[in-house]
Amino acid sequence: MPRIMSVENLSVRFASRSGQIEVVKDLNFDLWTGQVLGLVGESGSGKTQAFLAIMGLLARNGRAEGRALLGDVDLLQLKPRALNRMRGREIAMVFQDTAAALNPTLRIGIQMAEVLALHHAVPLPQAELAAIDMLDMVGISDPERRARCYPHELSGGMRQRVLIGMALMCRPKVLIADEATASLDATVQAQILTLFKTVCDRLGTALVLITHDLSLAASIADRMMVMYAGQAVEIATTDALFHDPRHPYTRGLLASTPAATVTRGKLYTIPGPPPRLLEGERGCRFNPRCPHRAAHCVELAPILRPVALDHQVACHFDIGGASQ
Amino acid sequence: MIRFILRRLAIAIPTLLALIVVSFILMKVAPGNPFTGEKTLPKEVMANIMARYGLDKPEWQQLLDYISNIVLHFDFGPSFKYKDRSVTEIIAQGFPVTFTYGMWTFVVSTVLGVFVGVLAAVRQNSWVDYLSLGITIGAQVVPVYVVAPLLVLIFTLWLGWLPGGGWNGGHWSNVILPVVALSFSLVASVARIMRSSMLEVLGSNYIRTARAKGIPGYKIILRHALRPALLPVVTYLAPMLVYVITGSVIIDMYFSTGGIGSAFVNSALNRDYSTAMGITILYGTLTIAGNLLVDLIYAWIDPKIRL
Repeated sequence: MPRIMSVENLSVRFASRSGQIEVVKDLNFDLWTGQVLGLVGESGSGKTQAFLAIMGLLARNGRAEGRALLGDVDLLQLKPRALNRMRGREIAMVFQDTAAALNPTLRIGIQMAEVLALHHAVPLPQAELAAIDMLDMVGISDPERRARCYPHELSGGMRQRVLIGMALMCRPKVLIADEATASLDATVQAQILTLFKTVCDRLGTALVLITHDLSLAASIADRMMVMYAGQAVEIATTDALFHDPRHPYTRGLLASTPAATVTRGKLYTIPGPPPRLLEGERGCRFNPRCPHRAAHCVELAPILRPVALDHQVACHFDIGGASQ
Repeated sequence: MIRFILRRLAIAIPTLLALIVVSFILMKVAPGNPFTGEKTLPKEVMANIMARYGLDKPEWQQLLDYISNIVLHFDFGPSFKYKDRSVTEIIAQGFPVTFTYGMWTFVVSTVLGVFVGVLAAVRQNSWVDYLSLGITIGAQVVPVYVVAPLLVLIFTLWLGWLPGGGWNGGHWSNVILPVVALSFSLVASVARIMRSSMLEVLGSNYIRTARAKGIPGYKIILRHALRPALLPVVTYLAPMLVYVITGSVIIDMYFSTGGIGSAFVNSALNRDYSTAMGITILYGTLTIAGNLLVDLIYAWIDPKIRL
């Protein structure tokens, strides 16, 4: 299966009053045609910022370093005009908070059509017909009528489908879904995930599913990347991650996920607060909360290393074997 | 939408009636009458004049006569001051002047203000932003009666480019200075409102969505940001519209434009009851119409507002 995108040594820094904050540090991963990468981690772990950086959408005080190769084009080096030709056409993003992510003053048909009109020089009326087809594809009934609606006239689930459809208008090679189902109720969530899977299979799109919900990502992801404090701590196939987690943080995450079968007892929580991300701090970023901490964990940052086929972990220890 | 307009027009009628009654009472409460002057008239003469204009009748009768004349004949009565002129004639003469420079002021202030505001927002924290901020704050605090003579000084006396006064049938050279003087602080206000609301819109999630779609910057401004950012500006435009088309006494005085502003002030000073009432009703009508117009624009900008 061909590789579509490869991200190398991606770092994202923000200038703040208390110095440089490094919210993403040396991120390395690849995306493959038609595959789903689940990206999990707690709030503030840099999941969203990493992909905003790739899309060139960082806030003004943010800086990205490294490479984000889409084919042989490094997105991070592109000038605004060249980047605009890639965004929406080759790589697209679906945002969370559907109420705010759509323009309240434009009909959704127009908002969807303009992507196609822009990138493929299709006249707008024709692009609107394509938008109606897309609404149908993402499972919106009565698409002709819905296309003429304003965002506030649709439900949250429908708006989410609109955003997904909008991102897919130009059949992008990479689709980034940032907490795209977070605000939806469980049944709609499941429908949207199924929709994602169908789309990836049909269009060969590589999907990145950013979420803080492990089990949600696991339901459709082929591979998983766990991020902690701006770094990838474990990358593995979904199967391996769940049955053979190697990083203490991943284990903690799995242990703190409520299981439907257990009815008694207190839910496990990882002790301690998430770290501050000031630059220049040594050692493993997880060490203050790690049950396996040793002296050199405080001094030396572990690098991501392979521990099995298609399984990488950033930890000094090999705590493999049976899962918790 | 049509029902909304009709309903608003229906509300306008009692509003105007209330306006007439209140202004009528206020005028009667004020001491003196149109014919009191430095020279006291003989009692008989005064009684004659009062009878001639119907001022000898009880007040409620005068009010009813006045209203019924307007409703039945669209007649606002004769001027109490200028014997051979009716109020309708006075308004017909002054209002077109006021309306002309008022509408130009409105257009110039809105267009220029929006343009400057957008520019400052897009180039936030650049020299363009700081320069426009500085100029707009300055322009906002300088009153019309300072701007007007300064403009005359520069463009009439020093440069000799434009006439310093007169109307000349609305020749463009006579219109420019009044419009510039009146626009001065309005441009500044519009620009500052526009800048802050544009900044807010540009920081919103849907603008990020538009950028993620690869839409170039100028198209984002024009298609995605301008309309929602105009909303607070439109709120300001309602009172501004009324302010500019009801005219400015100061403009009429400095530029001798002969607009309705000076007629209004004179009528009040002279106790010219009918003229003052007529212009008050005109202002009231314009205010109601202006607000209705702004509400319609509001609904056009924000689809969430249903009329």
